[in-house]
Amino acid sequence: MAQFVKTDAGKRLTRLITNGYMDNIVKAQQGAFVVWIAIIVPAEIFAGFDNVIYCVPESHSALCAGKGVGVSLCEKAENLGYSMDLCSYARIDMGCHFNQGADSPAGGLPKPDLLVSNNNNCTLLAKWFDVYHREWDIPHFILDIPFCYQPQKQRDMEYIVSQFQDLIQTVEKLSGQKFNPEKMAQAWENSVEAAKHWRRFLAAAKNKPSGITAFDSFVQMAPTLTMRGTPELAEHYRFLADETEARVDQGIVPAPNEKYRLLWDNIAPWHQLRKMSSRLGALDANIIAASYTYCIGSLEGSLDPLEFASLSPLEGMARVQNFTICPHGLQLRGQAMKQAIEEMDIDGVVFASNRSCKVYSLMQMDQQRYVQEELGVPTVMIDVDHADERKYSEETAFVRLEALLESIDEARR
Amino acid sequence: MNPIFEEAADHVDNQVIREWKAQGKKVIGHTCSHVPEEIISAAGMMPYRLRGIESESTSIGDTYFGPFICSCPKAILQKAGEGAFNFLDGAVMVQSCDSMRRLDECWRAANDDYPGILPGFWHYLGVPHKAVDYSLKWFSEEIEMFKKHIEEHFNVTITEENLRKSITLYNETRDLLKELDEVRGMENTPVSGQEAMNIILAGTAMPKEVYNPLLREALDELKARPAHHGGKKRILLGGSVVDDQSLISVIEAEGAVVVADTVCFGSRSFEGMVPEDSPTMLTIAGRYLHHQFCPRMFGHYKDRMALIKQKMELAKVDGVILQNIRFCDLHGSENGLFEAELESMGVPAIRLEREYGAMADEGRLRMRIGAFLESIPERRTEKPAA
Repeated sequence: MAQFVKTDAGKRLTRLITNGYMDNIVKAQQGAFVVWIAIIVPAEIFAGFDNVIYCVPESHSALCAGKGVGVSLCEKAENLGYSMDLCSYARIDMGCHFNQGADSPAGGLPKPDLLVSNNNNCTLLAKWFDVYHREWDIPHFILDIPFCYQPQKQRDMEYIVSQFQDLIQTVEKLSGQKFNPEKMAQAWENSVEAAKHWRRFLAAAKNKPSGITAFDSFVQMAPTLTMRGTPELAEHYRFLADETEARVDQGIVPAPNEKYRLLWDNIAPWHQLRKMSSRLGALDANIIAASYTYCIGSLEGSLDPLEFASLSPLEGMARVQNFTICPHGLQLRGQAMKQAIEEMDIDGVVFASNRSCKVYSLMQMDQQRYVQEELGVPTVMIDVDHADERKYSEETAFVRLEALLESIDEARR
Repeated sequence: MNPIFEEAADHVDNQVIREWKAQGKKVIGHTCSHVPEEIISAAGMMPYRLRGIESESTSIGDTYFGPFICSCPKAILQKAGEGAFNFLDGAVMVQSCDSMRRLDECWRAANDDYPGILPGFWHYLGVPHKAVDYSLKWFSEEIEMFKKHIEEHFNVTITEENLRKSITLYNETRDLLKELDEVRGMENTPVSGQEAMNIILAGTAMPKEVYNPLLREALDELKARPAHHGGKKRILLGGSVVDDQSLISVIEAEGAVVVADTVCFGSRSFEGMVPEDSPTMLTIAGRYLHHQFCPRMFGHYKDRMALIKQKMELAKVDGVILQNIRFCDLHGSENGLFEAELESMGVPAIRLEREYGAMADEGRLRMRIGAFLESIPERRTEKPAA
């Protein structure tokens, strides 16, 4: 039966994340320059400064949702006048930080000196950060990343590099600190090393039965967002991959009776990780991979490991700006999903239509059709919200998931 | 008033387009006020702003877009799927917002199920979300590629002379529309919001060389017309796309007059000029990127608030109606801030969420708008026209 097993890497992760949030609060109190960033903003740049730390509101919102306070924080934002149709990450974050970090399991995030957002997750993100910009009168730097239908073009990469250089100058000016490119280059090397081990960890899903669940990857991706560029991240993912491979070698897998190998498409339903995983496990079903996490450590449209030998650190960081699912087109999405289905021998795909992530969800109808009709793999669409539990109905979702399993059985006959 | 305005505003197709096409000329549709129409016009073609008006269903739109997505691009796709845009020779897609960007792929996908709905010329134009030196450079390259694509596809040459003429023509349109704004904002205004919106919308559905003389005539007629909207509550309409007269008709049926707006398709679309001397892709890019009145442009909330204030003062409005189409992240996140700021200034303001087009929720809107208008104190300065 698939379930969360607190492995040594899991225990290590808890310590890393807890320490990370606490360290940030302490360093901010000691005078560090604090930057709040959107998840794909190249955090390695901040490692080029002596005393600049970064916090990731999206990741913090996911943590809040996972710890059960998502709904109460959403309601606080709604009471301030923010529409329920806005992303629940944004509502949780505003509900938390306009109430002095209320209800946050991490005590909230230290107040920023600079906000850095982008449009390659979604356009709402820039609007969300802009609220703080206006309310707290804090500078807001926005990265403009061109959407791509084909692998990122050279001129787009150069455009992004120009913006990184502008960002570096902005941080220098605001923090009064001097930028050291060598320290940034070292951080970038750490990120590339971490990505290599991440791919090794995800590869355990190719085993039959799978060595991991997608839920493991949802949980373990957190430090990719909050500790990018650090040697501790590379070391943690090396440990995670080694441990996972060893467990597979020993025959220790999360779903020994695995009958259905499923793929998840969208952000994790943070409030449902344990419930959904356990209930699927009881049906001998395992969501072994997710587009949300298999894109980490690859480029748009592919699952192949990163290769940056010919690029400078800034170019490398620019090159990965389209890697997540949202800033690239359907063809690239389909290409990567096809590769995932083939490499991991997927039996069915769960498209999670996520009310809080329009940009991830608004292409799923076509994607579902492609997978079902072109690749011949059974699929289902369920309704979720990544952090607002009020918009999720467990029974409705499971009626559909069970129907998916039946259609897989049917296809096997 | 020339009936062509109402015809062009109310219908996807109109007499001017039919005559244009009968002469063998091309029409290029697009989805965003950040598309530099001057390039299309300089190629001897007619730019046409796509709207999803006259939609009676979203069955096709829903099939490709999925739920909880703005109904505006869905309605455009609906019309495309029904063949309403088959008169187009080309179309330009833009990442105005995430949902409108998606129209690009949805339309192409729908073409598999509804063959023949995709125009022969298809172009995705990247438009940055900020205006700094490097984004201007990047955008000017995008415009250059767009120009070359038109030239190659249609086997035409866009000369500098034609580009200069086109820029002059468009600047003239903007000047005339600003004049219309002034007339609208007069005390005892001679023009209703519906009529003004019809005039503005018509300009998006006909070539400017035809539109400008009609607009000039309309202005002369309005200026000579006796004032007849005195004594009504004067409203500024802000927020998401308003590309038909249905919402304004509800507001005005409740006894108000819309004397100003900052909506897409409306007044904000004609702010800013393209320099006429030595036109280059960079100067064109400059006008369109510095045109920051749509919330898709990042970091210009204060400029957008300033535009609202400027229009409020010009038209001496009594209240502001801020609306957004449901699921619109961009306007949805700014309207609440505008509302709070306006109220702190003592300006009555209301925020409405609605569906695009056909006024499916007209009763609810009518009730909320009526209540809002009742809450605005009676005007003391303006008496009904005799």
